[in-house]
Amino acid sequence: MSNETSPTPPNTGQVIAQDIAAADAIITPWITTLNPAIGSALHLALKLLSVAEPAVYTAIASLIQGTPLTPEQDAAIKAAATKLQNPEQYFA
Amino acid sequence: MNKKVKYLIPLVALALIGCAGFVNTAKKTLSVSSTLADGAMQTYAADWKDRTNRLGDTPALESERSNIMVCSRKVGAGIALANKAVDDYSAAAGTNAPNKVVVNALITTVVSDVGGFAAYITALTGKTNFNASPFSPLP
Repeated sequence: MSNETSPTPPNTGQVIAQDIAAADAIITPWITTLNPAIGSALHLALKLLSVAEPAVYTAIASLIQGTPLTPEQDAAIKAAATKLQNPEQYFA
Repeated sequence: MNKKVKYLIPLVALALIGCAGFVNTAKKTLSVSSTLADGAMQTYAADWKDRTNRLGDTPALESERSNIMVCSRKVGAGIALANKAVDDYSAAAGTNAPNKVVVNALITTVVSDVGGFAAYITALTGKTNFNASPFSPLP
């Protein structure tokens, strides 16, 4: 019998930490391209956000990095707005 | 979503809109906001149906649902208005096209409203995972 143990899967906290580290790698260099006064204030706000709402922080990293919306994503904004204005649909 | 974050997110969104590619970032902010609001509404509807099945369709539940639907209509109208403003700005449609300040204000209002809407639904249902971002799956 082998003494090798299978690697322990990362727990939720580790996954969040990895996501934040990946987001940091995108956000931190971008911050340095800004006006220093704006950049330092924004960096502080983003750091607070990374602790309070990691998912929003990683979404912002995607926002900075990403390409323009696809036509489907653009259409989805209108579709969501229409559905939200007709909330009865959610209860159908 | 706590109060600090509720106010922090619009500030960050505003700063991003001011700093990054304007139309692209505005559209992505609206995309994230609309997905969050839609997800929150889906979460609420599922939770409301569950409670109605268990408790019966009480006046209190109907009143609660009615309030949420008012909020949903307001949020949806705000998203539609801001989205049209970004499209008009992008196309520079005539002399009545909104300027950056107006578009920024509309988007900031949308983000703030969606934050409040999500916080309200979180308070009612105890659920926070609304699959907010179409760009990055939530952990």
